[in-house]
Amino acid sequence: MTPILQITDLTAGIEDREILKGVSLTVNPGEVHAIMGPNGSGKSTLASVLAGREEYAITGGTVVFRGNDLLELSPEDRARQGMFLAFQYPVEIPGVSTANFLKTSVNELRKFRGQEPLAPAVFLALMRERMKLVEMDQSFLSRSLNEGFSGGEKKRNEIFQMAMLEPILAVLDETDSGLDIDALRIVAGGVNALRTPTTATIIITHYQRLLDYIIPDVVHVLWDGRIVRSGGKELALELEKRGYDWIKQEAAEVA
Amino acid sequence: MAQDSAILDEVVQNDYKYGFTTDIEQDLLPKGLSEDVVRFISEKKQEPEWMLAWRLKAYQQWLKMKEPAWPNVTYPKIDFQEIIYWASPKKKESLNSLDEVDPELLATFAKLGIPLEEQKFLTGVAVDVVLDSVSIKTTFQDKLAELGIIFCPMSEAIREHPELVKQYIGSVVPTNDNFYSALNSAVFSDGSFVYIPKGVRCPIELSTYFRINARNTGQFERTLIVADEGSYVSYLEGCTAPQRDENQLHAAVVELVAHTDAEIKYSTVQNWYPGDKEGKGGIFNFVTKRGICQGDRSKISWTQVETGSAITWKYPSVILKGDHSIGEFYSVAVTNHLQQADTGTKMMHIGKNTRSRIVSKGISAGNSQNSYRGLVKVLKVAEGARNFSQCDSLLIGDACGAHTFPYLEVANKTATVEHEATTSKIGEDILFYCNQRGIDTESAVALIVNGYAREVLNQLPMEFAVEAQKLLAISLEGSVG
Amino acid sequence: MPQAAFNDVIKRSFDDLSKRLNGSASGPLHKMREAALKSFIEQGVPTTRHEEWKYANVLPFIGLEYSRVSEIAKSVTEKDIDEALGELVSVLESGWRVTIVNGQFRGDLSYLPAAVTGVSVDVLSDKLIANDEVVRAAYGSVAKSDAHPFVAMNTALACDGVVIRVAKGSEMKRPLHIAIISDARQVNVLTTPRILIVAEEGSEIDIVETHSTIGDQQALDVSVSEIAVGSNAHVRFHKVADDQDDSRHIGYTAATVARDGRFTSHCINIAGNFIRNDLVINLADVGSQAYLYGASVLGGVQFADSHTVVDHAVNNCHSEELYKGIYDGSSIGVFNGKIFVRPQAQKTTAYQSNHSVLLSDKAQVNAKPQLEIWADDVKCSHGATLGQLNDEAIFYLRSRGIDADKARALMTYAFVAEVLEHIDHEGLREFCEKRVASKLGTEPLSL
Repeated sequence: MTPILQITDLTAGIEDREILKGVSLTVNPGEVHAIMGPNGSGKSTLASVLAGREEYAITGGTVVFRGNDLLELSPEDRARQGMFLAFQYPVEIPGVSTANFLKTSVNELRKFRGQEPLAPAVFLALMRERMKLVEMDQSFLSRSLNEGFSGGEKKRNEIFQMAMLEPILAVLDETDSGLDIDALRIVAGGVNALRTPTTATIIITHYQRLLDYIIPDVVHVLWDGRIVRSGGKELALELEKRGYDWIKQEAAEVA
Repeated sequence: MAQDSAILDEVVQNDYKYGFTTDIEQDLLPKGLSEDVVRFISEKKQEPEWMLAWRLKAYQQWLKMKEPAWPNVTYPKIDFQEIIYWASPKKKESLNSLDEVDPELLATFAKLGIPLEEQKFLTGVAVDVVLDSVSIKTTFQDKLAELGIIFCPMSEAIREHPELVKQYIGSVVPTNDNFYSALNSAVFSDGSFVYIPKGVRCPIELSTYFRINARNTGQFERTLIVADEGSYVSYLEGCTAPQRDENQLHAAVVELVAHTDAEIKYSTVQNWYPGDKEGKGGIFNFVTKRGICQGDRSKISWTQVETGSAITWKYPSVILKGDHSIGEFYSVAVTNHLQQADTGTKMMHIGKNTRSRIVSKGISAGNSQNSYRGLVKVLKVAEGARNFSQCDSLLIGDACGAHTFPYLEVANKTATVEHEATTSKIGEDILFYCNQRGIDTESAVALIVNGYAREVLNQLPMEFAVEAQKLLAISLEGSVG
Repeated sequence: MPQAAFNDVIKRSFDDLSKRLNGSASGPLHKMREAALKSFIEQGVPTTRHEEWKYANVLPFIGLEYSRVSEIAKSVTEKDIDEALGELVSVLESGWRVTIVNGQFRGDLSYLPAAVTGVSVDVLSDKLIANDEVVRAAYGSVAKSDAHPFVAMNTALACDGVVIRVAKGSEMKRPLHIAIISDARQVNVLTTPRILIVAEEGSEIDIVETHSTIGDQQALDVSVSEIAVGSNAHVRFHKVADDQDDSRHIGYTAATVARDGRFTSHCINIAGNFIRNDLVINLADVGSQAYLYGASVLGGVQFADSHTVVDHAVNNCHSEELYKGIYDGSSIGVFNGKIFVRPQAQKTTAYQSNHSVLLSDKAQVNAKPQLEIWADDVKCSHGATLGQLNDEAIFYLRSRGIDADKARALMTYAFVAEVLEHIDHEGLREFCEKRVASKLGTEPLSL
């Protein structure tokens, strides 16, 4: 079985500061991986590097996505190949409706796959169907993208977009932070509904809470730019109970 | 929504799309301006004596006037003796059907994406095509005539409806209003005349496509629209010009008169050749546009999308004379490369309880300079006047400039005048977000800019809005990354 | 031609001054005066055709015959000054006072800081220019003659400029009052007071500038204040126009602000016939900040024109501006606020707002808030409203038993108080509140 994503010894940083100090990770089809870690351990950097944010400089290692060198690709080509990043802080675009934005996006992806653009009626029907997944109201479609949305609405909108774009690999960057329990349940429900045997998900989170709703196959602990421990879902529970300090200590001892 | 993917396709193309020259034999007057030239033009148009006298008076006024120096633009001095003031295609017989139109001309319009046939059948728009100076073809005239609507070339109106022209021409923009209005009054070649009779609602959008075609020919359009009591008309003006190396002067005058309870909606998409990336060539667009809300409860609304011209100098204005009259100005002005735009509006509140609304969206990219200049003036007698102005600037890149010069002058204590201005940029984070959703940067800019300008684009009739969106995207090609 | 007559007055005054210089006519100061005179003649007296003077017509009073002023000023006494300043004397009692009469420094009428306090006051001289690098760099370059005809005029004629220096790290608890007096008891006078304030690194001071006219003849006071705010220094500048009803003042205040420095300005126009204030702030280095507050409370035939410029020359600077006006009678108010954001000035934040209320049928207001931006990564906005008081709020007050006139006066006062509340100096704030309230026929609210 070919992995969807294979990260090997990845090092990366910003303005001379190294943040990722040798991350290795393999994600196979059908899997859900959770990456946990305290603030400043490099979680969001990893998500940004995977999506192709330009501020980060890759200093070493490789990332292979569906058999191709991911680091060679522009952000839009990564998206077109099936990489989806659910942003921690989704941006607002005044005057551009959610529907219009998504239509542009969906049709760019279809064009890349050699498919015809969706007919407006078909597209609208599809949006209506997928919105239900995250219990979003139709009125959101005609509102400017994320403008005036609450924190929870923005995150639901991210999962809605994920449902529309049907990615091969979804990276959820702290999608759970700042969500109340209802919104968390809705977001998790959406993610679960989108799980398939041929796609995979990476959940980046600070809290164990989300993992009550989305059961991961593997849990990794990122500390100081390295994955210092991996295990099953019980690792998350242990972290919840004991905090991160014991991991830090262990890591310090190994180093 | 279907419009967006079309825009994205357009965005991939690069240089000025409409830069081509039609080869039609031209009948040219030698360069330069004199009293004889004015007489020649008037004679060519078979004008009555009063019209010639009017022109000559304007010419005498022009001789005494100076070019305005206050706009925030710089350009080499124009030699008014180097301009050709008269050019007309040689085939001058009037045409009854499109079949009679010069095939090459039809091909030109096909390249522009406005084939007459299609316009005629698909959109129901009557098109009064002005190629350089002489009107060639007017459609739908019979249908309009049934309603008593007059929609014809200005030269025809002078001959056929002298009493109307005499009454209104120069009544809103006096010949000596400014340097360029005086010049236009002396040498105007042609333009459109519209009269909507009492109580008539014009059933179709009236449209004129202007084109500058002959080398070194100035274009001096004169448009006059009169909406009589209780009538309504929506007028569209679109401009695309072939690519040229020499600068060309365009100094049009547009006058609108709205009587009691009448409404005039005037929409412009201006896409004259802006010059190349080094600032070579391009049109100088020095236009005087003004409307008067003559009667009570009348309304004049200007909407403009300005993407072209090397230099734009234009302030579509409204004199709110009637009580409860309304003036509106919606504008998107895009400048890229070395373009310069100084545009805005004047709202003169005179009547009681008059209202005005100004929405200006400036977009600057490349090394361009984009200025909003506006005046809201509330006279002492203008009880209960209200104005709201919103002037936003969007900057793309760090080599361009955005300027706002709003003048607010209030002499009545019951007035309420509000002005807001903001400036913003297309942030890296927004571009990255779009990229992550598979949208490349160029398309993302088009998407964002169209969103930014939506409030104005929404004011345009549907067909025009599509063209305007395409133009915004094309104008900003290559401005990011 | 009043302009020509005025030019003659200036030229003659300049010649008189040159003769009296007694040898220092070849010094650097006089060289600057010569250049400034040339610049003034070139620029000419502005008419209303000049964009920056569109609403401010100076022609009616520049044609008057103005006298040389040097001899007369000597007869002004402490008592005259107390009368002219009124209540302000006790408000600023705890502070120092620099007194300038008809453009000349009067040490005998001043209360100067002792040598050790960290503030020094000197009279501008060739020697000072020669010996003091900071003064040399600042004088005539913070406020440039070629930028403004009346700066040129002032520079050409100013002969007794006052230099105030606040030493490095000195935090002044006491305000420094610059009392500028025009003595017009005998003849019409044209005065050209000139101030240079240098606040060195990390220093802090409150400056209060006032202009007062004594006597029944005409005075035209054309003053220039230059302020160099050092790095991490904070200058709080206050200019209160509360002069005789027929007084005329043309003032130009320019400040340059160095790295992380702060300049806060309060311009309060209460009484005076013609007030034109230019305030030009150059945010010259990274992290510098400017706060501009202004209020005009006019009535009768008063005219006040506030021209402000905030020039963001470098990155990461911040400016905030709030100007308000209340116009009664047939008064005329003008606000012209420019914000420039230069190409290098990325990460600028600049906010400006201007609000005016007309109280009478004959009053007028003209506003021109102007943004000019050449950098893209900036946050700038301006807002202007010209209108009436909030009827809803007045109705609310009336429904609580306050009569209509009083309600209106209260609302009007509250409208202006929003500007005044930014004045840190308690005594001065209360003084301004009281003056504004009494002009509006109410009392200060204890908010």
